[in-house]
Amino acid sequence: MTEPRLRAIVVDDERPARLFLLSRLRALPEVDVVGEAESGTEAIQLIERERPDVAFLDLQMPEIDGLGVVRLVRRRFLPLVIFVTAYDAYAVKAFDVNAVDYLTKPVHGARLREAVRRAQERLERADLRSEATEQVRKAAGAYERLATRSRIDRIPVRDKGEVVLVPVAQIVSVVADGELLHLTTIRQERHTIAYRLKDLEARLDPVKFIRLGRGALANVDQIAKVTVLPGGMYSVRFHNGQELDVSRIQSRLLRGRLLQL
Amino acid sequence: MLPVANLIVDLAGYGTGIALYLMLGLMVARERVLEGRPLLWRGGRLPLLTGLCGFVWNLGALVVSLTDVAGHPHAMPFVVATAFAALGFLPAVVVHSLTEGRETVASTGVGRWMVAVSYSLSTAAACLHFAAAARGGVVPSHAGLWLLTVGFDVLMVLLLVMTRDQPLGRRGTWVAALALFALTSLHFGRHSANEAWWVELVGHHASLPLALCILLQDYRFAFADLFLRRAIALLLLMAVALCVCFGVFVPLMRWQVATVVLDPGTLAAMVFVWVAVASALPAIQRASTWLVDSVVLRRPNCDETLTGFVDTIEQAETDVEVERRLGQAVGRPMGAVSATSVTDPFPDLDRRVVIAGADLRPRVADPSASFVLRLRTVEPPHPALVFGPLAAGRRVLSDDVRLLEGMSRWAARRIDSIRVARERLERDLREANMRRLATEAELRALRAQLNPHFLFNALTSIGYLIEANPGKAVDALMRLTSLLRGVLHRSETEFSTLGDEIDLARAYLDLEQIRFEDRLTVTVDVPAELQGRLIPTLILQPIVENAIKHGLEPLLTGGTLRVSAATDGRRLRVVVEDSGRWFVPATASGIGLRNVTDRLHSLYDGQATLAISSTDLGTHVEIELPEAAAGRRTHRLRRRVG
Repeated sequence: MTEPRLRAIVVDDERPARLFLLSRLRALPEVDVVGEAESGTEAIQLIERERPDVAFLDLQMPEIDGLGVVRLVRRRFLPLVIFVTAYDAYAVKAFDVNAVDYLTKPVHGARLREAVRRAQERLERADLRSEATEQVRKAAGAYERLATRSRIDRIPVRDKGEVVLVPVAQIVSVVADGELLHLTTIRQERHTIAYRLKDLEARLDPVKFIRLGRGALANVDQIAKVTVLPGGMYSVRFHNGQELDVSRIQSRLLRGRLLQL
Repeated sequence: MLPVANLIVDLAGYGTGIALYLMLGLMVARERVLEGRPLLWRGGRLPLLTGLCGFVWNLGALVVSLTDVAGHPHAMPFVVATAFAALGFLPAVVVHSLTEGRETVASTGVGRWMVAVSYSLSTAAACLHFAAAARGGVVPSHAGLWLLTVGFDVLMVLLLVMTRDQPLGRRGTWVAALALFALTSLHFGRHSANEAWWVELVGHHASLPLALCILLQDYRFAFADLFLRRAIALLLLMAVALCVCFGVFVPLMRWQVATVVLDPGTLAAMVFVWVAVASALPAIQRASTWLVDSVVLRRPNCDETLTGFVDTIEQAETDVEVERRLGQAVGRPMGAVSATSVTDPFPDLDRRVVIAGADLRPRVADPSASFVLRLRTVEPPHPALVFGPLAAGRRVLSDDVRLLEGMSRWAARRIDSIRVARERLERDLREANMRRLATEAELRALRAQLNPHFLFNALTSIGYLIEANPGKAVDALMRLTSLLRGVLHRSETEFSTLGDEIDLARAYLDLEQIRFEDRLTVTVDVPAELQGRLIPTLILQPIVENAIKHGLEPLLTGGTLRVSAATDGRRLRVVVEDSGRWFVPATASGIGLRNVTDRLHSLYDGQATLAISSTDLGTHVEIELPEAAAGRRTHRLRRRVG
């Protein structure tokens, strides 16, 4: 065999589904399965350790799902991604639109071979590869917007080599910075995640988190002091010492929310 | 000419005058009482003033004529002065009625000024009469009569100039009336006993045309039509009587006086003529009605108007359109400026269709509203039309009401039939919609019961088992088969036994168990004696599925699920507990249990409950069903099956 074999991993929290896909993959001579993971956290570690060419990611997993993995893996390590789902109309739509490969359970042999063939094609050409990475990120965003997903209690973040789940109640503020979000906790820890502020806001409790402006969210429970600046704008000081300015429009709303007895 | 003829003319004339003015006064008073207004209400005082002046004049003149005949001329100078003073006010009232409600004259200060001048003239003349009476001079005062003649002639010329935009016929009426009055004053100014009888008639009774003229200026009073009709009938009758008197009786009397024999034939002829005159009364009344309706008021023919109106509204397709056309049809002949459609402000009144006058307040807020036309439809909402002010302050006359009632009734019938047609159309649409919804609901129910996410995951599990453990694969296949068969079979019935429902849930849980392996621990604790209890089909399975999907599946380490049932003899409790924390009250309707709640409610008339509570330890879902009701249902169900 002249062609290099495709190094693949399989991620699924359900063992039967994972083993079923693994046995299909192992039947393909052009694929070399280099690992399997049964959670999002494990998957991230596995990817960064093994640097596989392609990852088969189950879309529905507890805590960190397939999209969470894509978001949390360091960009340069992100392999080609093929999502696997039992049934999710929103996911299928988001992937179709963004030309991202996906497989439905139970995985069909012919479709799997086709997906593998496309992956090889993309790996051979660097431009297609970076394009694929971009498409996966876009599809992830589109899916977030399509599916009204439940509130989250904990936000997975990278802490050095590890993935940590930060309880939402410990988050003091979220400040947008380009495509990234900076989270500050009550212990003054700072985390950065790749997420759109609007998408994150949709998954947080609107009673607890309010907008301070176009690019910032604040945990109401953590606000210690509100100072009026010249010109009718406000500045907010949190219990952890952090300070943020409030936009003119939000100042008015903030006055209605916080400063009226 | 004999003074006897003059006396007859005078007596007949004054008698008619008294009757007419009294009738006018009484009608105005009656109208006020009916409308609940004080007798001296400011609006529409002109007819009352006319009635009063005319009555005083005729009464005074009659008294004076009688004293003259009795041989005591000039016996009561103050009665004469009062009578002439009252007569002198009539032209002022005419001028007043001309200016009131006329945009052209009243809007200018000149109009008000002229009214003031005319009343001053009348007052001055009255003063002159009384002064003459007090001095013992000639009453009526010549100076006063001249003052009236000259003064009102000048005013008449001015008024003619100012009202040049009025239609010619209108101007003709009041110019003739005022000119006649001027002649009257002249006549009294050089009064002698030997005038021709017709001069006497014209001279003494010019007040009558004045009064009619005042009334004709924009019928400000509801009984104007009725009054005119009676007045004209009375006048016609008097005219016929006088004609007969001077054409037949006077020559006859002269001949009788010449022969000094009272011939029975002559007597019979006289009686015959009187009877003929009396029997002419109905014809005279008809003639006066025709005269008032078609010539004076130019009222459209009631039947024709109604027929035309019915044709018009037959073409209207909506109730709004019917109301609009009714508003137009009524507004045009009545001169209503505007018509507004409202809901009937008088729902407590049962029969009256036209509401006008004081009855409008306070139900109708608009102070300029002249009357309300109610549309008495069979079913609410009952519409009504509020009409704005009528042209030139006109009122709804008593005869208008008849026409309006007819039109309103036809319009209400048309609205009824439009509503019936619309209701039928809406019902058809609703039924079609319901059929569509029922089909959709069936499809949706089937899809919900066969949750695709679960189904594909189960098939994946079976696919794995075929390779790893073919024996277990066949088991799983059987579980899936019985689950599908159970769901499909159950969608046809409302109740099945608790045991069957538990089996169905078990089949589901077994398949999930294969998928989640040791992450899922299931316990079922249902006493054998409760297995036969009837519960609604497919109530338990969705609750179990929710517990898995929202409670346990998101947990990395999994958890436990327990299904149990118990009874206290009256209520059957079926409980599903899991160690997840999935229930958030705000999203309760969004987690697939809305359907369960609705079905429990409709099957048990609110006697069954579904309670969900969530703690840190897990979520607890409890269905509570009345045992007795379940029994009754059992009976019905068995019968249906049998």
